[in-house]
Amino acid sequence: MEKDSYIDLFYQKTDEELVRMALKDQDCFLYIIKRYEGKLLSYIVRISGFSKEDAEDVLQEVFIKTYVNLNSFDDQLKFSSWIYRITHNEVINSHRRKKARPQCVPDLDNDFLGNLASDMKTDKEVDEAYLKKNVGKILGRLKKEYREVLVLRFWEDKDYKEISDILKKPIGTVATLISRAKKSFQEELEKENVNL
Amino acid sequence: MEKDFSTSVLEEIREKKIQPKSKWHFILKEYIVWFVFFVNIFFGSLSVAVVLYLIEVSDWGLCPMTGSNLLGLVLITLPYFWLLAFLTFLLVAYYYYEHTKAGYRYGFIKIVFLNISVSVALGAGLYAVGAGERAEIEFAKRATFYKDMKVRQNQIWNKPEKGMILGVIREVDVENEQFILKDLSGESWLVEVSDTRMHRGVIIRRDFDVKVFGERQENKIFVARDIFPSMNKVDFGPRPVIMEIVP
Repeated sequence: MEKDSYIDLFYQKTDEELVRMALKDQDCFLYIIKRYEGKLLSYIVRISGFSKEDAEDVLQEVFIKTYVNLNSFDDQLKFSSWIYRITHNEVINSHRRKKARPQCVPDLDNDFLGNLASDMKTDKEVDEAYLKKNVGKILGRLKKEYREVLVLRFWEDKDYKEISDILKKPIGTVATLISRAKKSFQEELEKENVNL
Repeated sequence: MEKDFSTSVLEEIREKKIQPKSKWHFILKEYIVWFVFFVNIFFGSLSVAVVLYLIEVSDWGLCPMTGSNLLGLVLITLPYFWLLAFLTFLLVAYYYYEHTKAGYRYGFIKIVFLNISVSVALGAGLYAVGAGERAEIEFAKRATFYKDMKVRQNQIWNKPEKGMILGVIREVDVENEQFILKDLSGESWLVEVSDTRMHRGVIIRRDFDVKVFGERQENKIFVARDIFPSMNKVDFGPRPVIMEIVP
């Protein structure tokens, strides 16, 4: 079998299959890393405001912890929720170590704004250019827990159950948090005289 | 050539000889968390059983005899220690439940409400089989602070100047219809029972705990109007062996 088709075979495997394989053969863990490194790196940057280098340090720790705790992965949970949870915890630990609060959230795209605006049932055409430029700054001003649920819901496109599993909060609490986060986001926008 | 991120992470894992923790490590951890949770639920239930027992023996029905209002009496004699113990076990149980694998899925109110329901149901069962009484007595024997607290709380029944004494019968004189009573403060009284209503459950014999309502006379004489059995099981100190006059 050629190398490329061999690698393709791994990419066709589900997360759960890769976990079982990684427990038997350490090398298979590489495919889990490859599958998640991009998504998780963006997630870390978005919720923490860390530089790419700092975020990579956090991400390395995330994968090491994931590997160490691989036997605790519960099939009843989606693997992605589980690894996002580890990432969320590692970002918190990292913040504690640095004792810093992120001031802005970089790397914004239209998807986030579109998702957020359509969820708020408003006209996303309004002030979109302004938003695209400043929304990171506005997100950075929100409470950490608000910023995180907005990122998970509208950026990572996670449903309430997944967010509940990632943040280890009841679904009802997640719904409340998202609602409050949207309200807080809107208030911040109003301070900037922008209507969403 | 610069190594890509995934390869460098895997190499780090190899170099540091990092291995996944065994499945047993996590299974054991989960069992310990559940075990501590159930231990706290059990002791919380036992606290409920003691609270029910203490309410049973609280004699709130005697309130009209004391001249104070019922709410005041209830507030003074509530078993705060055991209510606090119940609350503590409940919160510790909640903490551990939250640390089980799926514990985060239910909100604080749901878990606490469920824990209270289970503890009250189990506590009622324990109370019914007498575990509440047993636990309270055993605890009072071992914890001096609790014994002292109980004596202080029961002083509400021991106010001779207001016509009530809580005490233990020391000697009975059947012929002269009187007995000697040692009250909660350690004072001895000669109680006259010639014209006294003896309420259900009262036995005039040595070492029997009673609540006496009546009138204080001079020279530590107390004329009893009503005598009730005292169920509070207060420790009146060492009980000397004396000649007993059985009625």
